[in-house]
Amino acid sequence: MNRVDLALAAASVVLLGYGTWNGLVVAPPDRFMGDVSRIMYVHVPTAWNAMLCFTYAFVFAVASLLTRRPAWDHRMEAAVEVGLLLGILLTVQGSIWARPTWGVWWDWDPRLTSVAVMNVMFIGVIALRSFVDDASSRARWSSVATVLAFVNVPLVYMSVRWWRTLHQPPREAGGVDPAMLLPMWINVVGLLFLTVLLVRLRTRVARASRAAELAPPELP
Amino acid sequence: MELLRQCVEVTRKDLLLQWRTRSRFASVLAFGVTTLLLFSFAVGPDTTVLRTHASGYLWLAVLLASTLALSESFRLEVEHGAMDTLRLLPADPRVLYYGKALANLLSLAALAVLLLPFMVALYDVQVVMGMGRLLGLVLLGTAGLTAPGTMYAALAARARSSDVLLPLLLFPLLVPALVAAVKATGLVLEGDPMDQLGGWTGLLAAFNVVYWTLCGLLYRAVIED
Amino acid sequence: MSGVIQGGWGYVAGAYGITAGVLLLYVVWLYTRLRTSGRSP
Repeated sequence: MNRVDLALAAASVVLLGYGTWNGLVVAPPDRFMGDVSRIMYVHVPTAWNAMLCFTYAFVFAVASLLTRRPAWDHRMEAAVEVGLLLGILLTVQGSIWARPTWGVWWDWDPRLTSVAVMNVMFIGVIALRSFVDDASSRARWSSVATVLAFVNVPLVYMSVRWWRTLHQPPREAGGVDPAMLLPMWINVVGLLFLTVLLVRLRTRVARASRAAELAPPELP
Repeated sequence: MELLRQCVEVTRKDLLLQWRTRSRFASVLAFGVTTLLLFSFAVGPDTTVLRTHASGYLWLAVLLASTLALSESFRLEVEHGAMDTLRLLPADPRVLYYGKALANLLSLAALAVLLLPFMVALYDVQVVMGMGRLLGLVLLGTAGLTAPGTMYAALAARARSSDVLLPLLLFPLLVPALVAAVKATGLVLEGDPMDQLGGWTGLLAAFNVVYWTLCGLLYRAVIED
Repeated sequence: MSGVIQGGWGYVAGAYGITAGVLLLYVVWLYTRLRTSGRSP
């Protein structure tokens, strides 16, 4: 862990600590939803950072395909994994939110459903990587799969949104009380620092794995 | 145009290979019919329910059968090391992709069309908006399936556990195409009082444009060494 | 709209707890991987 990592870690702990405290204690409960609305202070930051990670993965995939440098592949491997982790957390949080709010564990909300589909696509990318032994093929093929998956996201969103509104009227998104915006944004930035840190650390793990892969076998 | 001629050559080669192994096609078709039957048994003999969801069952059957057809389309190349030979030919990778994809499209579309009479019989459907529109949708839907399908089949064929990898990669990607194809086909079967067909067809067409273009561009990265 | 949803703290605790817990576990896992890979020949 170098200085940048420590700085990121410290910043994220401070911001997430304050933002969470503010969200749980200081901010008012929602008019209709009561205290359940406080889930948004972790849900919205997770959403932003998951999408950001998937975007990183796409950018790194394109860079990897254009330059064929392993460094981009390591970063992409990290961004895919961290993005998937956040995506799964997002889906779980969404389900926990849905239960008291709509009475069901899953209500086919277009955004959450798109994330769920994206999660499966990125599980596919990780599975692909585990089934390919040659490092350069692995880099190229998983980059291709990442690009195809990322481009799919707006298409999934549009199709699910339309598919659902045919059966249910669209839900109104209410305005958000300004006192609720503060903890939300603090946590967005706090989680951003944490996400960047996680991607940096995971990239290093990827680089070390590759080095171990390429290293000559030990003599007895 | 030289590229077009080469593409047609590749398509001809693949169609010839498929013709020579046509017993396999018959088996895949039988698999598709069995799948349609299984849906009936899983859902129950309520004709109303079956009729309402007929287009869903059809497209799921096509989707499941397609994994068999798509992986088969690369088996011969991989088994005989022909992928390298093809790559060394002075042909643009795009030609190899579009040629193969077109051949796959023709056989998958044939498969889907052959499943239609079974769908009509098992689920008691009528084709309210006409066979022309139905066939057009079948073509558009299978095209959407074929573009990424050919891409992933090429990729999976050279990886381990390829039989799992192909559906795992392909199926989530096809969600928008599946939703649009099922909705549009359902409207063609039952009627479209609220004029939604254009929208769903548009989405399916957009999916096709995106993936036929993108896969052609990226194919080079998949087949090169 | 019916009245305010009562007793939501259980759900809130669940959401925050799972998120924090999983992220913490991931950080620990990453740290362990980095330390052991640093030692490999």
